[in-house]
Amino acid sequence: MVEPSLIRAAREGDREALITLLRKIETHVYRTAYYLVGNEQDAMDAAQEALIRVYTKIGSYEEKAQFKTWVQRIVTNICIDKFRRNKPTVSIEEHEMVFEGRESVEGEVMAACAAKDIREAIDRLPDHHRAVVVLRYLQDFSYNEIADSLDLPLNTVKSYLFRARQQLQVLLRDYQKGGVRG
Amino acid sequence: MNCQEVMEYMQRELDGDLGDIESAKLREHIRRCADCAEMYERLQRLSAELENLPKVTPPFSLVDAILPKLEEIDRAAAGGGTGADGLPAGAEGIGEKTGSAPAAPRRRISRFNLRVLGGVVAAGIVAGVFLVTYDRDRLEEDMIGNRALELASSGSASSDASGSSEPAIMFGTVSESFDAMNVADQYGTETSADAANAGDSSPTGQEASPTSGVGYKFVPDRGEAGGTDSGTGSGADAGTDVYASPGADAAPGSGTENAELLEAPVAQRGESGDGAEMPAVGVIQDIVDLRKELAASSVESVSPDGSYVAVFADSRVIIYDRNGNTRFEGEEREGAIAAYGWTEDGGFFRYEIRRGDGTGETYRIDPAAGTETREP
Repeated sequence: MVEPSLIRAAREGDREALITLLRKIETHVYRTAYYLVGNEQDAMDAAQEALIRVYTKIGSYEEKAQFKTWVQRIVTNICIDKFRRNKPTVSIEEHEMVFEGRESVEGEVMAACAAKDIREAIDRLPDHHRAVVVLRYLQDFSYNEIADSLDLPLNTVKSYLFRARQQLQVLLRDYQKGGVRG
Repeated sequence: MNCQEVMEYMQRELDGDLGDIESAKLREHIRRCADCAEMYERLQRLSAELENLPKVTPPFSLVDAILPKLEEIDRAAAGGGTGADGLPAGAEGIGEKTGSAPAAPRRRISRFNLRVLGGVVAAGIVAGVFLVTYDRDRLEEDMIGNRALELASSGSASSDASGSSEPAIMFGTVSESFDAMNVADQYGTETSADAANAGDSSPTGQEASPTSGVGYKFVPDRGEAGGTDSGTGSGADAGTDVYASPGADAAPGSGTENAELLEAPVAQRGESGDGAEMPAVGVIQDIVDLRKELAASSVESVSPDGSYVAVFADSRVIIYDRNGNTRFEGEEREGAIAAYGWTEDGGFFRYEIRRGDGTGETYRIDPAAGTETREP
Protein backbone atom coordinates (compact mmCIF):
# COMPACT_ATOMS: atom_id res chain seq x y z
CA MET A 1 0.00 0.00 0.00
CA VAL A 2 2.48 2.67 1.10
CA GLU A 3 6.20 2.17 0.65
CA PRO A 4 8.13 2.04 3.91
CA SER A 5 10.75 4.37 2.46
CA LEU A 6 8.13 7.05 1.96
CA ILE A 7 6.90 6.68 5.51
CA ARG A 8 10.44 6.86 6.79
CA ALA A 9 11.20 9.99 4.81
CA ALA A 10 8.03 11.58 6.09
CA ARG A 11 8.91 10.72 9.66
CA GLU A 12 12.33 12.22 9.23
CA GLY A 13 10.85 15.56 8.30
CA ASP A 14 10.67 15.42 4.52
CA ARG A 15 7.60 17.56 3.99
CA GLU A 16 7.13 16.57 0.37
CA ALA A 17 7.17 12.92 1.35
CA LEU A 18 4.65 13.61 4.05
CA ILE A 19 2.29 15.36 1.66
CA THR A 20 2.68 12.51 -0.82
CA LEU A 21 1.92 10.12 1.98
CA LEU A 22 -1.23 12.00 2.87
CA ARG A 23 -2.35 11.84 -0.74
CA LYS A 24 -1.88 8.11 -0.74
CA ILE A 25 -3.98 7.57 2.33
CA GLU A 26 -6.66 10.19 1.90
CA THR A 27 -9.10 7.89 0.11
CA HIS A 28 -8.72 5.19 2.74
CA VAL A 29 -9.19 7.72 5.48
CA TYR A 30 -12.23 9.23 3.82
CA ARG A 31 -13.82 5.86 3.15
CA THR A 32 -13.64 4.82 6.76
CA ALA A 33 -14.93 8.20 7.87
CA TYR A 34 -17.77 8.04 5.39
CA TYR A 35 -19.07 4.74 6.68
CA LEU A 36 -18.48 5.63 10.29
CA VAL A 37 -20.20 8.99 10.34
CA GLY A 38 -22.77 8.20 7.69
CA ASN A 39 -22.72 11.33 5.57
CA GLU A 40 -20.41 13.03 3.14
CA GLN A 41 -20.01 16.39 4.84
CA ASP A 42 -19.06 15.05 8.25
CA ALA A 43 -16.88 12.45 6.55
CA MET A 44 -14.91 15.17 4.80
CA ASP A 45 -14.52 17.13 8.00
CA ALA A 46 -13.45 14.07 9.94
CA ALA A 47 -11.10 12.87 7.23
CA GLN A 48 -9.46 16.28 6.94
CA GLU A 49 -9.00 16.42 10.65
CA ALA A 50 -7.51 12.94 10.59
CA LEU A 51 -5.08 13.91 7.83
CA ILE A 52 -4.03 16.97 9.77
CA ARG A 53 -3.44 14.79 12.77
CA VAL A 54 -1.35 12.38 10.73
CA TYR A 55 0.61 15.38 9.52
CA THR A 56 1.29 16.69 12.98
CA LYS A 57 1.77 13.35 14.70
CA ILE A 58 3.84 11.50 12.15
CA GLY A 59 6.83 11.85 14.43
CA SER A 60 5.08 9.77 17.04
CA TYR A 61 4.38 6.90 14.67
CA GLU A 62 6.58 3.96 15.53
CA GLU A 63 7.47 1.48 12.88
CA LYS A 64 6.66 -1.50 15.00
CA ALA A 65 3.01 -0.77 14.29
CA GLN A 66 1.59 -1.03 10.83
CA PHE A 67 1.20 2.38 9.28
CA LYS A 68 -2.25 1.62 7.92
CA THR A 69 -3.59 0.53 11.30
CA TRP A 70 -2.06 3.60 12.90
CA VAL A 71 -3.86 5.79 10.38
CA GLN A 72 -7.12 3.95 10.82
CA ARG A 73 -6.87 4.33 14.55
CA ILE A 74 -6.62 8.07 14.13
CA VAL A 75 -9.60 8.35 11.84
CA THR A 76 -11.83 5.99 13.82
CA ASN A 77 -11.04 7.83 17.02
CA ILE A 78 -11.95 11.15 15.49
CA CYS A 79 -15.14 9.79 13.99
CA ILE A 80 -16.29 8.10 17.15
CA ASP A 81 -15.25 10.86 19.52
CA LYS A 82 -16.37 13.86 17.60
CA PHE A 83 -18.85 12.98 14.94
CA ARG A 84 -21.10 10.34 16.38
CA ARG A 85 -22.64 12.18 19.26
CA ASN A 86 -26.35 11.57 19.78
CA LYS A 87 -26.82 9.16 16.94
CA PRO A 88 -29.43 6.52 17.63
CA THR A 89 -28.20 2.97 17.45
CA VAL A 90 -29.80 -0.37 18.01
CA SER A 91 -28.64 -2.25 21.02
CA ILE A 92 -26.76 -5.42 20.44
CA GLU A 93 -27.58 -8.48 22.49
CA GLU A 94 -24.52 -8.74 24.65
CA HIS A 95 -25.21 -11.93 26.59
CA GLU A 96 -25.69 -14.42 23.79
CA MET A 97 -25.67 -14.96 20.11
CA VAL A 98 -29.25 -14.53 19.10
CA PHE A 99 -30.21 -17.32 16.83
CA GLU A 100 -33.86 -18.20 16.83
CA GLY A 101 -36.79 -16.56 18.51
CA ARG A 102 -35.56 -13.01 18.47
CA GLU A 103 -38.92 -11.30 18.43
CA SER A 104 -37.82 -8.72 20.92
CA VAL A 105 -34.75 -7.79 18.93
CA GLU A 106 -36.74 -7.68 15.76
CA GLY A 107 -39.33 -5.47 17.32
CA GLU A 108 -36.65 -3.13 18.53
CA VAL A 109 -34.98 -3.11 15.18
CA MET A 110 -38.20 -2.51 13.33
CA ALA A 111 -39.04 0.35 15.62
CA ALA A 112 -35.63 1.93 15.72
CA CYS A 113 -34.79 1.48 12.12
CA ALA A 114 -36.71 2.73 9.17
CA ALA A 115 -33.67 1.91 7.10
CA LYS A 116 -34.12 0.32 3.74
CA ASP A 117 -30.54 -0.16 2.98
CA ILE A 118 -27.51 -1.95 4.28
CA ARG A 119 -25.67 1.34 4.68
CA GLU A 120 -28.34 2.70 6.88
CA ALA A 121 -28.33 -0.55 8.79
CA ILE A 122 -24.60 -0.16 9.37
CA ASP A 123 -25.22 3.35 10.55
CA ARG A 124 -27.43 1.94 13.27
CA LEU A 125 -24.81 -0.31 14.73
CA PRO A 126 -23.07 0.75 17.93
CA ASP A 127 -19.85 2.63 17.24
CA HIS A 128 -17.31 -0.10 17.75
CA HIS A 129 -19.37 -2.75 16.02
CA ARG A 130 -19.69 -0.48 13.06
CA ALA A 131 -16.00 0.32 13.13
CA VAL A 132 -15.14 -3.35 13.08
CA VAL A 133 -17.42 -3.95 10.10
CA VAL A 134 -16.01 -0.96 8.24
CA LEU A 135 -12.40 -2.00 8.78
CA ARG A 136 -13.18 -5.57 7.82
CA TYR A 137 -15.10 -4.79 4.64
CA LEU A 138 -13.96 -1.38 3.49
CA GLN A 139 -10.30 -1.69 4.43
CA ASP A 140 -9.97 -5.47 4.08
CA PHE A 141 -8.35 -5.67 7.48
CA SER A 142 -7.68 -8.93 9.28
CA TYR A 143 -8.87 -9.56 12.81
CA ASN A 144 -5.44 -8.61 14.09
CA GLU A 145 -5.27 -5.43 12.07
CA ILE A 146 -8.69 -4.43 13.33
CA ALA A 147 -7.60 -5.17 16.89
CA ASP A 148 -4.53 -2.96 16.43
CA SER A 149 -6.54 -0.17 14.88
CA LEU A 150 -9.23 -0.08 17.52
CA ASP A 151 -7.01 -1.05 20.41
CA LEU A 152 -9.32 -3.93 21.26
CA PRO A 153 -8.49 -7.51 22.22
CA LEU A 154 -8.67 -9.97 19.36
CA ASN A 155 -11.59 -11.84 20.87
CA THR A 156 -13.54 -8.66 21.29
CA VAL A 157 -13.00 -7.84 17.65
CA LYS A 158 -14.37 -11.21 16.60
CA SER A 159 -17.26 -10.93 18.95
CA TYR A 160 -18.15 -7.46 17.67
CA LEU A 161 -17.84 -8.52 14.07
CA PHE A 162 -19.94 -11.63 14.52
CA ARG A 163 -22.62 -9.82 16.43
CA ALA A 164 -22.67 -6.97 13.98
CA ARG A 165 -23.12 -9.35 11.06
CA GLN A 166 -25.85 -11.14 12.85
CA GLN A 167 -27.61 -7.90 13.61
CA LEU A 168 -27.28 -6.77 10.02
CA GLN A 169 -28.55 -10.10 8.81
CA VAL A 170 -31.64 -9.67 10.96
CA LEU A 171 -32.16 -6.21 9.56
CA LEU A 172 -31.81 -7.38 6.01
CA ARG A 173 -34.15 -10.28 6.57
CA ASP A 174 -36.71 -7.87 7.91
CA TYR A 175 -36.42 -5.78 4.82
CA GLN A 176 -36.90 -8.86 2.70
CA LYS A 177 -39.89 -9.87 4.75
CA GLY A 178 -41.33 -6.44 4.31
CA GLY A 179 -40.91 -6.85 0.58
CA VAL A 180 -38.61 -3.86 0.45
CA ARG A 181 -35.73 -5.76 -1.04
CA GLY A 182 -37.79 -7.98 -3.30
CA MET B 1 -21.28 -29.72 17.62
CA ASN B 2 -24.34 -27.62 18.39
CA CYS B 3 -25.86 -24.85 16.34
CA GLN B 4 -24.37 -22.17 18.51
CA GLU B 5 -20.88 -23.45 17.85
CA VAL B 6 -21.67 -23.76 14.18
CA MET B 7 -22.66 -20.13 14.16
CA GLU B 8 -19.16 -19.17 15.12
CA TYR B 9 -17.75 -21.43 12.46
CA MET B 10 -19.97 -19.82 9.87
CA GLN B 11 -18.80 -16.40 10.92
CA ARG B 12 -15.18 -17.37 10.82
CA GLU B 13 -15.62 -19.07 7.49
CA LEU B 14 -16.84 -15.76 6.09
CA ASP B 15 -13.53 -14.25 7.14
CA GLY B 16 -11.48 -17.13 5.76
CA ASP B 17 -10.49 -18.04 9.28
CA LEU B 18 -11.42 -21.72 9.24
CA GLY B 19 -8.95 -24.53 8.70
CA ASP B 20 -9.76 -27.46 6.46
CA ILE B 21 -10.99 -29.70 9.23
CA GLU B 22 -13.19 -27.02 10.76
CA SER B 23 -14.51 -26.19 7.35
CA ALA B 24 -15.45 -29.81 6.76
CA LYS B 25 -17.22 -29.94 10.11
CA LEU B 26 -19.20 -26.86 9.21
CA ARG B 27 -20.30 -28.28 5.88
CA GLU B 28 -21.23 -31.54 7.51
CA HIS B 29 -23.46 -29.77 10.02
CA ILE B 30 -25.09 -27.58 7.43
CA ARG B 31 -25.98 -30.61 5.35
CA ARG B 32 -28.02 -31.96 8.21
CA CYS B 33 -29.42 -28.77 9.74
CA ALA B 34 -31.81 -26.76 7.61
CA ASP B 35 -31.90 -23.84 10.03
CA CYS B 36 -28.16 -23.46 9.98
CA ALA B 37 -28.09 -23.88 6.22
CA GLU B 38 -30.54 -21.04 5.85
CA MET B 39 -28.66 -18.90 8.32
CA TYR B 40 -25.40 -19.56 6.56
CA GLU B 41 -26.88 -18.57 3.25
CA ARG B 42 -28.15 -15.34 4.70
CA LEU B 43 -24.82 -14.54 6.27
CA GLN B 44 -23.01 -15.25 3.04
CA ARG B 45 -25.37 -12.95 1.21
CA LEU B 46 -24.86 -10.26 3.82
CA SER B 47 -21.11 -10.62 3.64
CA ALA B 48 -21.23 -10.35 -0.13
CA GLU B 49 -23.29 -7.19 0.15
CA LEU B 50 -20.84 -5.74 2.61
CA GLU B 51 -17.99 -6.54 0.29
CA ASN B 52 -19.83 -4.76 -2.49
CA LEU B 53 -20.40 -1.56 -0.59
CA PRO B 54 -19.44 1.39 -2.76
CA LYS B 55 -15.77 2.22 -2.45
CA VAL B 56 -16.51 5.87 -1.94
CA THR B 57 -13.85 8.46 -2.68
CA PRO B 58 -13.72 12.04 -1.50
CA PRO B 59 -15.48 14.47 -3.82
CA PHE B 60 -12.32 16.56 -3.97
CA SER B 61 -8.75 16.22 -2.82
CA LEU B 62 -8.77 16.54 0.94
CA VAL B 63 -5.03 17.07 1.01
CA ASP B 64 -5.34 20.05 -1.29
CA ALA B 65 -8.04 21.37 0.97
CA ILE B 66 -5.91 21.21 4.07
CA LEU B 67 -2.66 22.49 2.53
CA PRO B 68 -3.20 26.06 3.75
CA LYS B 69 -3.89 24.69 7.19
CA LEU B 70 -0.73 22.61 7.08
CA GLU B 71 1.30 25.63 6.07
CA GLU B 72 -0.14 27.48 8.98
CA ILE B 73 0.84 24.64 11.26
CA ASP B 74 4.35 24.68 9.85
CA ARG B 75 4.65 28.39 10.41
CA ALA B 76 3.41 28.06 13.93
CA ALA B 77 5.87 25.26 14.56
CA ALA B 78 8.73 27.22 13.02
CA GLY B 79 7.89 30.14 15.26
CA GLY B 80 8.21 27.90 18.28
CA GLY B 81 4.56 28.26 19.15
CA THR B 82 3.31 25.00 20.52
CA GLY B 83 0.12 24.12 22.22
CA ALA B 84 -0.16 22.61 25.63
CA ASP B 85 -0.02 19.07 24.28
CA GLY B 86 3.18 19.68 22.41
CA LEU B 87 1.43 20.04 19.09
CA PRO B 88 1.84 23.12 17.02
CA ALA B 89 -0.97 25.50 17.77
CA GLY B 90 -3.89 24.94 15.50
CA ALA B 91 -3.02 21.34 14.88
CA GLU B 92 -6.26 20.18 16.37
CA GLY B 93 -9.37 20.77 14.43
CA ILE B 94 -10.18 22.54 11.26
CA GLY B 95 -10.93 26.19 11.26
CA GLU B 96 -9.50 26.86 14.65
CA LYS B 97 -7.39 29.93 14.89
CA THR B 98 -3.87 29.87 16.12
CA GLY B 99 -4.29 32.50 18.71
CA SER B 100 -1.25 31.51 20.70
CA ALA B 101 1.24 31.64 17.87
CA PRO B 102 3.74 34.43 18.07
CA ALA B 103 2.84 37.21 15.71
CA ALA B 104 6.24 38.38 14.54
CA PRO B 105 7.42 35.65 12.16
CA ARG B 106 4.01 35.22 10.64
CA ARG B 107 3.65 38.89 9.99
CA ARG B 108 6.91 39.02 8.18
CA ILE B 109 5.83 36.20 5.96
CA SER B 110 2.39 37.48 5.31
CA ARG B 111 3.63 40.93 4.41
CA PHE B 112 5.82 39.40 1.82
CA ASN B 113 3.01 37.29 0.53
CA LEU B 114 0.78 40.25 0.27
CA ARG B 115 3.27 41.99 -1.93
CA VAL B 116 3.85 38.98 -4.03
CA LEU B 117 0.24 38.12 -4.48
CA GLY B 118 -1.20 41.54 -4.11
CA GLY B 119 -1.98 41.65 -7.77
CA VAL B 120 -4.21 38.64 -7.58
CA VAL B 121 -7.62 40.16 -7.73
CA ALA B 122 -9.20 37.21 -6.03
CA ALA B 123 -6.84 37.56 -3.14
CA GLY B 124 -7.84 41.09 -2.51
CA ILE B 125 -11.46 40.28 -2.82
CA VAL B 126 -11.42 37.25 -0.63
CA ALA B 127 -9.40 39.19 1.87
CA GLY B 128 -12.17 41.74 1.64
CA VAL B 129 -14.63 39.07 2.61
CA PHE B 130 -12.50 38.28 5.60
CA LEU B 131 -12.12 41.84 6.62
CA VAL B 132 -15.78 42.59 6.38
CA THR B 133 -16.63 39.65 8.47
CA TYR B 134 -13.77 39.95 10.86
CA ASP B 135 -15.38 42.74 12.74
CA ARG B 136 -18.55 40.80 13.32
CA ASP B 137 -17.17 37.85 15.07
CA ARG B 138 -14.59 35.18 14.77
CA LEU B 139 -17.09 32.43 14.33
CA GLU B 140 -18.35 33.85 11.13
CA GLU B 141 -14.86 34.52 9.93
CA ASP B 142 -13.99 30.92 10.48
CA MET B 143 -17.10 29.82 8.77
CA ILE B 144 -16.36 31.84 5.71
CA GLY B 145 -12.78 30.74 5.86
CA ASN B 146 -13.96 27.19 5.69
CA ARG B 147 -16.24 27.99 2.85
CA ALA B 148 -13.40 29.53 0.98
CA LEU B 149 -11.52 26.37 1.70
CA GLU B 150 -14.33 24.30 0.31
CA LEU B 151 -14.43 26.53 -2.67
CA ALA B 152 -10.75 26.20 -3.22
CA SER B 153 -10.73 22.51 -2.84
CA SER B 154 -13.83 21.85 -4.83
CA GLY B 155 -11.88 22.91 -7.83
CA SER B 156 -9.55 20.03 -7.40
CA ALA B 157 -12.44 17.63 -7.47
CA SER B 158 -12.91 18.75 -11.00
CA SER B 159 -9.37 18.02 -11.91
CA ASP B 160 -9.52 14.64 -10.25
CA ALA B 161 -12.77 13.74 -11.84
CA SER B 162 -12.09 15.09 -15.28
CA GLY B 163 -8.81 13.28 -15.69
CA SER B 164 -8.29 13.75 -19.34
CA SER B 165 -9.99 16.88 -20.53
CA GLU B 166 -8.30 20.03 -19.23
CA PRO B 167 -6.03 19.28 -16.33
CA ALA B 168 -4.00 22.41 -16.83
CA ILE B 169 -6.79 24.84 -16.48
CA MET B 170 -8.27 22.91 -13.66
CA PHE B 171 -5.03 23.19 -11.84
CA GLY B 172 -5.07 26.87 -12.47
CA THR B 173 -8.43 27.20 -10.85
CA VAL B 174 -7.35 25.33 -7.82
CA SER B 175 -4.18 27.25 -7.34
CA GLU B 176 -5.80 30.59 -7.66
CA SER B 177 -8.35 29.76 -5.09
CA PHE B 178 -5.60 28.52 -2.95
CA ASP B 179 -3.47 31.56 -3.17
CA ALA B 180 -6.50 33.63 -2.49
CA MET B 181 -7.20 31.54 0.52
CA ASN B 182 -3.67 31.78 1.77
CA VAL B 183 -3.53 35.47 1.50
CA ALA B 184 -6.95 35.91 2.95
CA ASP B 185 -6.11 33.72 5.85
CA GLN B 186 -2.81 35.34 6.55
CA TYR B 187 -4.30 38.66 6.08
CA GLY B 188 -6.96 37.99 8.61
CA THR B 189 -4.37 36.78 11.01
CA GLU B 190 -2.19 39.74 10.52
CA THR B 191 -5.07 42.06 11.04
CA SER B 192 -5.87 40.52 14.33
CA ALA B 193 -2.26 40.68 15.38
CA ASP B 194 -2.13 44.34 14.57
CA ALA B 195 -5.33 44.92 16.41
CA ALA B 196 -3.85 43.34 19.47
CA ASN B 197 -0.61 45.24 19.22
CA ALA B 198 -1.92 48.65 18.44
CA GLY B 199 -4.98 48.41 20.57
CA ASP B 200 -6.82 49.81 17.61
CA SER B 201 -10.40 48.74 17.66
CA SER B 202 -10.96 49.12 13.93
CA PRO B 203 -7.83 48.04 12.17
CA THR B 204 -9.50 46.59 9.14
CA GLY B 205 -9.82 49.69 7.05
CA GLN B 206 -6.30 50.78 7.57
CA GLU B 207 -4.93 47.33 7.07
CA ALA B 208 -6.96 46.71 4.01
CA SER B 209 -5.62 49.57 1.99
CA PRO B 210 -2.30 47.97 1.12
CA THR B 211 -4.13 45.11 -0.48
CA SER B 212 -6.32 47.14 -2.71
CA GLY B 213 -3.53 49.60 -3.34
CA VAL B 214 -1.32 46.89 -4.67
CA GLY B 215 -4.29 45.50 -6.49
CA TYR B 216 -4.70 48.78 -8.32
CA LYS B 217 -1.08 48.99 -9.11
CA PHE B 218 -0.94 45.68 -10.81
CA VAL B 219 -4.40 45.69 -12.25
CA PRO B 220 -4.89 49.06 -13.79
CA ASP B 221 -7.20 47.82 -16.51
CA ARG B 222 -9.68 46.14 -14.24
CA GLY B 223 -11.89 48.79 -12.76
CA GLU B 224 -13.95 46.39 -10.74
CA ALA B 225 -10.90 45.12 -8.97
CA GLY B 226 -10.90 48.33 -7.02
CA GLY B 227 -14.34 47.35 -5.90
CA THR B 228 -12.76 45.60 -2.99
CA ASP B 229 -12.94 49.06 -1.52
CA SER B 230 -10.55 48.51 1.34
CA GLY B 231 -12.69 45.77 2.63
CA THR B 232 -15.71 47.93 3.27
CA GLY B 233 -17.65 46.79 0.24
CA SER B 234 -20.03 43.89 0.27
CA GLY B 235 -18.08 40.70 0.58
CA ALA B 236 -20.69 38.78 -1.29
CA ASP B 237 -20.72 41.07 -4.25
CA ALA B 238 -17.00 41.04 -4.43
CA GLY B 239 -16.99 37.30 -4.22
CA THR B 240 -19.42 37.06 -7.05
CA ASP B 241 -17.24 39.29 -9.06
CA VAL B 242 -14.30 36.99 -8.88
CA TYR B 243 -16.10 34.10 -10.32
CA ALA B 244 -18.49 35.95 -12.50
CA SER B 245 -15.99 38.12 -14.29
CA PRO B 246 -14.22 35.37 -16.18
CA GLY B 247 -17.38 34.97 -18.15
CA ALA B 248 -17.93 32.88 -21.18
CA ASP B 249 -14.42 33.12 -22.52
CA ALA B 250 -13.24 30.99 -19.65
CA ALA B 251 -13.12 28.15 -22.08
CA PRO B 252 -10.30 25.74 -21.53
CA GLY B 253 -7.49 25.71 -24.00
CA SER B 254 -5.21 28.46 -22.90
CA GLY B 255 -2.90 25.65 -22.22
CA THR B 256 -0.39 24.11 -20.00
CA GLU B 257 1.46 27.22 -19.03
CA ASN B 258 -1.10 27.85 -16.33
CA ALA B 259 0.59 25.55 -13.97
CA GLU B 260 3.99 27.09 -14.45
CA LEU B 261 2.74 30.60 -14.18
CA LEU B 262 0.98 29.82 -11.00
CA GLU B 263 3.75 27.86 -9.53
CA ALA B 264 6.36 30.54 -9.87
CA PRO B 265 5.12 32.96 -7.25
CA VAL B 266 4.10 30.15 -4.99
CA ALA B 267 7.54 28.68 -5.02
CA GLN B 268 9.02 32.09 -4.52
CA ARG B 269 6.91 32.56 -1.50
CA GLY B 270 7.86 29.25 -0.04
CA GLU B 271 11.53 30.06 -0.18
CA SER B 272 11.20 33.65 0.74
CA GLY B 273 12.77 33.65 4.16
CA ASP B 274 13.68 36.92 5.80
CA GLY B 275 14.23 40.28 4.27
CA ALA B 276 12.67 40.45 0.84
CA GLU B 277 11.35 43.93 1.24
CA MET B 278 10.33 44.29 -2.35
CA PRO B 279 9.35 41.60 -4.80
CA ALA B 280 11.77 41.04 -7.62
CA VAL B 281 10.87 42.23 -11.10
CA GLY B 282 10.34 38.66 -12.16
CA VAL B 283 7.82 38.20 -9.47
CA ILE B 284 5.90 41.22 -10.62
CA GLN B 285 5.84 39.84 -14.09
CA ASP B 286 4.54 36.60 -12.67
CA ILE B 287 1.83 38.45 -10.89
CA VAL B 288 0.75 40.16 -14.06
CA ASP B 289 0.67 36.80 -15.77
CA LEU B 290 -1.18 35.38 -12.85
CA ARG B 291 -3.75 38.09 -13.10
CA LYS B 292 -4.26 37.33 -16.77
CA GLU B 293 -4.77 33.72 -15.94
CA LEU B 294 -7.26 34.63 -13.33
CA ALA B 295 -9.33 36.44 -15.85
CA ALA B 296 -9.44 33.31 -17.96
CA SER B 297 -10.72 31.01 -15.30
CA SER B 298 -13.99 30.25 -13.65
CA VAL B 299 -15.45 27.89 -11.18
CA GLU B 300 -16.24 24.65 -12.87
CA SER B 301 -16.90 21.17 -11.66
CA VAL B 302 -17.04 17.96 -13.64
CA SER B 303 -19.51 15.31 -12.53
CA PRO B 304 -18.01 12.09 -11.16
CA ASP B 305 -18.69 10.11 -14.32
CA GLY B 306 -17.59 12.95 -16.57
CA SER B 307 -21.02 13.36 -18.14
CA TYR B 308 -21.52 16.97 -17.16
CA VAL B 309 -19.60 20.10 -16.40
CA ALA B 310 -21.13 22.68 -14.14
CA VAL B 311 -19.83 26.21 -14.62
CA PHE B 312 -20.58 29.09 -12.30
CA ALA B 313 -20.14 32.29 -14.23
CA ASP B 314 -22.03 35.56 -14.55
CA SER B 315 -23.80 34.78 -11.30
CA ARG B 316 -25.48 31.72 -12.68
CA VAL B 317 -24.82 28.03 -13.00
CA ILE B 318 -24.76 26.50 -16.43
CA ILE B 319 -24.44 22.77 -16.96
CA TYR B 320 -23.01 21.37 -20.14
CA ASP B 321 -22.94 17.77 -21.21
CA ARG B 322 -19.83 16.08 -22.49
CA ASN B 323 -20.55 17.29 -26.00
CA GLY B 324 -20.62 20.88 -24.87
CA ASN B 325 -24.39 21.23 -25.21
CA THR B 326 -26.12 23.30 -22.57
CA ARG B 327 -28.27 21.05 -20.44
CA PHE B 328 -29.31 23.56 -17.88
CA GLU B 329 -29.01 27.27 -17.41
CA GLY B 330 -29.79 28.65 -14.00
CA GLU B 331 -31.18 31.97 -12.99
CA GLU B 332 -28.86 34.72 -11.88
CA ARG B 333 -28.22 34.49 -8.18
CA GLU B 334 -27.23 37.37 -6.02
CA GLY B 335 -24.27 36.38 -3.89
CA ALA B 336 -21.19 34.22 -4.16
CA ILE B 337 -21.04 30.53 -4.71
CA ALA B 338 -19.80 29.27 -1.37
CA ALA B 339 -19.75 25.53 -1.81
CA TYR B 340 -20.64 23.20 -4.60
CA GLY B 341 -20.22 19.70 -5.83
CA TRP B 342 -21.81 16.76 -7.51
CA THR B 343 -23.67 14.12 -5.61
CA GLU B 344 -21.83 10.88 -5.44
CA ASP B 345 -23.88 9.25 -8.18
CA GLY B 346 -23.37 12.28 -10.41
CA GLY B 347 -27.13 12.73 -10.63
CA PHE B 348 -27.30 16.18 -9.12
CA PHE B 349 -25.20 19.28 -8.87
CA ARG B 350 -25.62 21.11 -5.59
CA TYR B 351 -24.39 24.55 -4.82
CA GLU B 352 -24.73 27.03 -2.07
CA ILE B 353 -25.12 30.73 -2.56
CA ARG B 354 -24.13 33.07 0.23
CA ARG B 355 -24.48 36.79 0.49
CA GLY B 356 -22.54 39.29 2.51
CA ASP B 357 -25.31 39.59 5.08
CA GLY B 358 -24.90 35.94 5.96
CA THR B 359 -28.03 34.72 4.21
CA GLY B 360 -27.96 32.12 1.52
CA GLU B 361 -29.59 29.16 -0.07
CA THR B 362 -28.68 25.78 -1.43
CA TYR B 363 -29.91 24.61 -4.80
CA ARG B 364 -29.93 21.25 -6.45
CA ILE B 365 -29.83 20.88 -10.20
CA ASP B 366 -30.92 17.75 -12.00
CA PRO B 367 -29.16 18.03 -15.35
CA ALA B 368 -30.97 15.03 -16.79
CA ALA B 369 -34.33 16.63 -16.17
CA GLY B 370 -33.03 20.17 -16.68
CA THR B 371 -34.57 21.32 -13.43
CA GLU B 372 -33.39 23.16 -10.37
CA THR B 373 -34.90 23.00 -6.92
CA ARG B 374 -34.12 24.99 -3.85
CA GLU B 375 -33.29 22.82 -0.90
CA PRO B 376 -35.02 23.55 2.37
